[in-house]
Amino acid sequence: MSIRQHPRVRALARRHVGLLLKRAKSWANVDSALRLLAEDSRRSVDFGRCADPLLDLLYWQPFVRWAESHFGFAPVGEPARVPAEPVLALVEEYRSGDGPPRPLLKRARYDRLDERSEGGIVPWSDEAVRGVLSGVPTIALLPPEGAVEADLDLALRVASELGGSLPILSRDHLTRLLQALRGPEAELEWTAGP
Amino acid sequence: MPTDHPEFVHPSNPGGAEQLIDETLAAIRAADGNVVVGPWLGEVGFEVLYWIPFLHWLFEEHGIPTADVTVVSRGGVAPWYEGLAGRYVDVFDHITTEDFRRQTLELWAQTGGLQKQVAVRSWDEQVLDATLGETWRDGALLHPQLLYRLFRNVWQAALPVRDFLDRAVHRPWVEPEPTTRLPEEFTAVRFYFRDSFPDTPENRSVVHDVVERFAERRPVVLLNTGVVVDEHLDAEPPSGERILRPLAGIEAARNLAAQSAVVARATLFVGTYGGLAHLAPFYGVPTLGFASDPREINPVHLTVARRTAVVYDTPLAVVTPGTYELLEAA
Repeated sequence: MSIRQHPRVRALARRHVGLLLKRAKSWANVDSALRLLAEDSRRSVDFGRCADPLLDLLYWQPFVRWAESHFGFAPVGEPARVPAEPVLALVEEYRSGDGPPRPLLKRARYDRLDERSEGGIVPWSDEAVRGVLSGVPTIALLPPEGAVEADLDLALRVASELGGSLPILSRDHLTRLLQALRGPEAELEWTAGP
Repeated sequence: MPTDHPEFVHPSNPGGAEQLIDETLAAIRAADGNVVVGPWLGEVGFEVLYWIPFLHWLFEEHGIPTADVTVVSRGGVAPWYEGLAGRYVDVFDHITTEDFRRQTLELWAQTGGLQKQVAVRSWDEQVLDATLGETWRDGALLHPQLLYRLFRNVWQAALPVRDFLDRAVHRPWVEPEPTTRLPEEFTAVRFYFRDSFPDTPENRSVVHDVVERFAERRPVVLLNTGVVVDEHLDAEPPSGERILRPLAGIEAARNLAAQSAVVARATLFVGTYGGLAHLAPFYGVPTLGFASDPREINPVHLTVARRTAVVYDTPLAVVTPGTYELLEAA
């Protein structure tokens, strides 16, 4: 048995799991910290919150769902807190375009939302992702300043893996598409809409 | 296409892409720039979305002169390779579509359904012998396997999509000359069945309804040619006065060029997502690509298709029937 596997060493590490998470430089570090928590049958886990609603829906909640199902934490007991920040810091490598999606995808579970979304043509935001997760037809309208491309890529992936589609278009492109569909008057109809 | 096929899955090797490209460049230099590109025997989608933009990058980034480059592909797609080659040779000028289809399906059966040219196989060599004679062996062969070896880990999500995008250059696409008279304004339509749009009564109904709806608005030009070279079967659209089929019966060696010429002049392209739905945005044609089961699409293709359409400042929407109805109601 290596010293890292010794029960006393692991118990000591468990007491400092917050520090381990804070210093996590890789997904493997996060996995190790969560594995430590899962070994303690007397403590449940309290996952923190992500303040950004888009990041919450696209990254943090799917991670929490995966972690809960993968590690099977104790259902009761004094909770150990797992903040969102260390995970979101790792997510940033993907969002910057430098990191591959796979490590993130391995640690995410996307399920249909219980709550019902309206869907429709909505600005690119958590509302668009909520439409995708609800399984209702949704088209995301990009703001003029654009968006984080990796977020759009992931939303497309989630939509297709759930069996849906998510056209993501600028206002100009949506207008041109509607005009190509129905003729020049389409722009007037659309801009007069909600 | 199963991108989880064992021959397709490959561990990511740091620096592996640079090494492969260096080896390719060395082979080109050793052949004094005498290069054969191809033979491209696979799907239109991979050819236009990945292969051609990659070739532009490779040649421009590394200053490879194109005068001595010979491209071998099929369907008369010389205009797609504008600026990339001094010579184009068409497979169907030398091999019948029946032989091509039979050999292709046999190969897929032998490789367990792997449709990609991940290696130079004897069928590739037979095609090169038939199209170019023995001379292709004197030059450097830029075979599609390079594309698959370079980017399979991108398609597997093991490398960021940037690994491809940084090695792609998008140039204006030359419109092929039309082989037929076309209406002033029309919608180009090409529906076929595939895993993401399977042959079901519901999808047949979608094809029927969509084509009829567009025919009420402006003439519809069907791109169905009758040329069958793979496992995809055309969906049969309805007939009508405003539903035209100018390409029916066109010779195989020109069929993709003829379809491209129609697509390039369309007001809108509508059809099954994949293939020509990837091509239409290159000509600036707004595009609606249908998929009733998007789980069958590799999401990386959706990403690259979306980003490429943005480069060409052209709207592209991949839609389920439900999302399409949302667009119609907008």
